[in-house]
Amino acid sequence: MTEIQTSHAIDAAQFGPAMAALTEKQRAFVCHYFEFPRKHGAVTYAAVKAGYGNTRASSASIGHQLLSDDKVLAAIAEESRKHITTLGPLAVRALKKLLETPTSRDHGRALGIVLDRIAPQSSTLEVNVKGEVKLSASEAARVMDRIETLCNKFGVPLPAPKIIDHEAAA
Amino acid sequence: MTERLGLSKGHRYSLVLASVAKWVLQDSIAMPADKRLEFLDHLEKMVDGKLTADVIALVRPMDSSGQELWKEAAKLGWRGYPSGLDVLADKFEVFAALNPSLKAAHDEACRPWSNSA
Repeated sequence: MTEIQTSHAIDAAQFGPAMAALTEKQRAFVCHYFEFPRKHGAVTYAAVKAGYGNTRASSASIGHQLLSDDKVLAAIAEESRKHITTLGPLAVRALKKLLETPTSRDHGRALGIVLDRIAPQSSTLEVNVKGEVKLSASEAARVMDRIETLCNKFGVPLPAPKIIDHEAAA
Repeated sequence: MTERLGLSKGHRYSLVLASVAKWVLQDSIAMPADKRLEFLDHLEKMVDGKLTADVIALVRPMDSSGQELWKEAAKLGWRGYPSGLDVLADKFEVFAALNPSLKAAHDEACRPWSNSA
């Protein structure tokens, strides 16, 4: 159990920067975390497989600690992006299968999805947004009054008013 | 040192902080009004029996040399010991040498009859 079971070659070059920043055991943990087929028990499974802990309970504890480590979380996010990309061909194959099966109840939806991408329907949508910005003059005046009072009280020079070019000559 | 200087540590770093606040208020012309008011409110919160509004009004904005010292002190952070605030208080005399208005404000705060103001 203490031996790190890494069927994944720990070659830093094949990983992204977040994975490369981890230790060998942490990398093994992340890799095994994605392997577990079910939702529950993945953390313990990955911790055991990576060689963490002497008992199942301690492996589980360490596994959950690893999941609160920012570096490990960044590596999981990085690997997730890779995994989703690799699912692309699988999705295309499933869509193709649906298109080839007219009796399937999702055949129409699959057809729609493909047609939307081949010949997207163009439409023009005019959006009118009406908004109202309420400027509270009294609130602004109150703030400016308070600024002036406090500036005088504490000997802070008031900011010089902004000069607009064409007004400077006037 | 506290006895020699006459003001508590908190008062000493408050005076230095007042000069910092005035420097920021003076230098940041484009500062929004609400932010400016926030800095001024900080100055008001410093007012107590020793550091009266008149005492704080004597403090001039921090100059460039003081700003360098301030930036070094800020690197220590503002919690624990020693923090940036400890540096501001312990090195008050250095800040006062660079900005004599701090010494004037300090002396004014130490005048026994000035406390009733």
